[in-house]
Amino acid sequence: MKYIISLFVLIFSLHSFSQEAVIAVGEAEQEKDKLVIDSSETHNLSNTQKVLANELLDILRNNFIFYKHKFNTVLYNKTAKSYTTENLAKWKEDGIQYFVASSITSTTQGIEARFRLWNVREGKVILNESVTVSNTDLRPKAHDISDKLYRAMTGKPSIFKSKIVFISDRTTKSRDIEKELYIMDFDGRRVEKLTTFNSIVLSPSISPDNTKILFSVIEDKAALSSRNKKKMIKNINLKMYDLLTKKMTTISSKPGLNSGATYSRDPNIIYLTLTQSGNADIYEMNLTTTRMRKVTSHFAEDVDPSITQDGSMMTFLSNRAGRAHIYTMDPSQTEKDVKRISFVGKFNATPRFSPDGKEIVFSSWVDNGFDLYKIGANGQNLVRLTKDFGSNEDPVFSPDGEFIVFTSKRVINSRKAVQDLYIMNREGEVLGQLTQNFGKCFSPQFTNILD
Amino acid sequence: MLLLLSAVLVTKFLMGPSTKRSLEIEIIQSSVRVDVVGMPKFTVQELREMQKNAAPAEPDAKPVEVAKAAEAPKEEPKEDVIKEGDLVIEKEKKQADFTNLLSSYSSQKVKKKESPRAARPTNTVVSGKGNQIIDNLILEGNKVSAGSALVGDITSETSSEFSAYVQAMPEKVRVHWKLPSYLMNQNLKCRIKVYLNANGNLIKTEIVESSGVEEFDSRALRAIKDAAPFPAPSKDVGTRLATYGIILGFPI
Repeated sequence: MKYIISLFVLIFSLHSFSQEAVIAVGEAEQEKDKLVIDSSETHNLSNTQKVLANELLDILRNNFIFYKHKFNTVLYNKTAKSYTTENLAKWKEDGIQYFVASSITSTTQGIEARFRLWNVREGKVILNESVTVSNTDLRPKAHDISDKLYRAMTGKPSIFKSKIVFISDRTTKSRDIEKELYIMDFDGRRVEKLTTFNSIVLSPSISPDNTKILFSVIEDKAALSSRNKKKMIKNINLKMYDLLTKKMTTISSKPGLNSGATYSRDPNIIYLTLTQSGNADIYEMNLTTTRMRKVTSHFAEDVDPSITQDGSMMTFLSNRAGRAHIYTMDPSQTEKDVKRISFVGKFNATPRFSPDGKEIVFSSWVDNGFDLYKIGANGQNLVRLTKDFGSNEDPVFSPDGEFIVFTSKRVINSRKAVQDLYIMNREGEVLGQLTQNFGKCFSPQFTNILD
Repeated sequence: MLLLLSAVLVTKFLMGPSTKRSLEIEIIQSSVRVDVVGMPKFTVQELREMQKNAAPAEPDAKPVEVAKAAEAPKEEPKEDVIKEGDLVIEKEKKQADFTNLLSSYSSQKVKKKESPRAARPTNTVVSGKGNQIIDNLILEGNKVSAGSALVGDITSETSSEFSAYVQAMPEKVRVHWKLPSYLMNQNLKCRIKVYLNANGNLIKTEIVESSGVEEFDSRALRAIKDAAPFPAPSKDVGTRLATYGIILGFPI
């Protein structure tokens, strides 16, 4: 009997002991890796070549400052010949995780730079790369080598080779505002003008293979007046610009609005807003067949679609609840699984998915201007990103999901305001200004990562 | 036969939690749904700064005894943290329709409504001034929590108090929970049992499930040590924490 009682006690104890609660602490914050991009070993360089070599290293160092939430990029002058003679013990002692050593020699066109990337903790070289650089290709070559270094350290692509397409009104000369399309490097350098409509260009979108840009433009269109007389009216038409052939094509010029177009994963399928039925709705369009399919069908205005990379979800703006709010839906069928995401905000605008489709960044009117917010695609975890930083709009995630580029407007006086592009990390830490003295800038869009 | 079975059970019991037994585990996260009533006032950066500046609760930490990871059941099979059939209660405010609302008003007796704030866990247990500020900010709408699962039989006042106390612990630990890049996204997981005394100081920590990577486990242990001391628990909660401890999951 004594044994039976003790058995019962033990079974009971084991049961209560085995049913234990676990309190989830959550995901850890990542510590920054200490990165050294050391001064180069140079061999018989002319003064011009020395300048080129220094500029190359400066671009590399500057690039990694964009990822300062991941890397603590430090200067390190403790050894003059780190390329030929590594000092792993010392680097380890100094808490360095990654060490970039380089050797630069003279070529007829410019310089040849050889890079060696050390994973100090593991004590091994994880990248050996050589590149020839001249004055004409310095920046793209520097971005390319930066991307290779970043990939070797993180296993992921960077934004260093990405470009930003945007709109600027800098060519406006009279009262008639002109907004044209431009493209530049991710860091705001090497700006190139793409269009000359002498009109207003709107809402660009880049094809998945980075070869084409969709955008809208306000154009004159012949129409009949109520007295059956010909007159010219303004119409917002959808155009496509081929970056390879430099050719322009009109995609849609239905009466009214043909705008807000965005590419899906399939380069033949786009989503755009049309007002041909008198009400703004989002349509899917096949670029090859020009067949249209209604995606939203509501008496309210539905505009500004953004599609996840896998094409399974669309976010858009609608006033179906009375005010402009953010919604998500499955774009494969009309009005399928429409879900309201935002419930607060006086006026929400430009919802844009993160590359992984888990978050939506948008702008919302607060007090006397717009600020940026981020919300989970399931409608949870609403957080604020900007405050006391001008009026901020048009946010867009970088293709690696680490950054958000946006426009910020500052009123100088009652007649003048500036609006430039800025870049922040995904947590809202502003990293810098991308455009300056380049007119008012609008609607930034990143090119895609291709490899 | 009975004696043999009993002996096996005694052996298993004496070996305690470090043996290779299968833990039935429930995840407890925040149990309170916070409804957003307006756009967040503070940015992520501002909230981070406030969290960094949160005042420590009590200064007198005592030395910590740490059980070795080697004792933990490393080869224990991974289990779903919430099993099929587990009771999952989601505390959400039920929306009354207009007709029911009117009838409920007409038949309603005036009674003192229990303040929802009184039931909030963090208000009762987090003593740091900074944490209180953050708590209030979250109430103002900087976060919509999952309204997530509270599992099991926690119904008595003591159990609720215990639950409230332990749910507030991750807030303190998370600030110190950091990993180097090479340990991120490795899908590693470890679980550490924490024993606290009546003052909220660590008595000891015990790795009940190792990640298999020593650095990961030691980082989790360091986060707990750096977070200590925790707020002083009530007598009942303190007794339970000193006797049975509570398991913290890194990350779950």
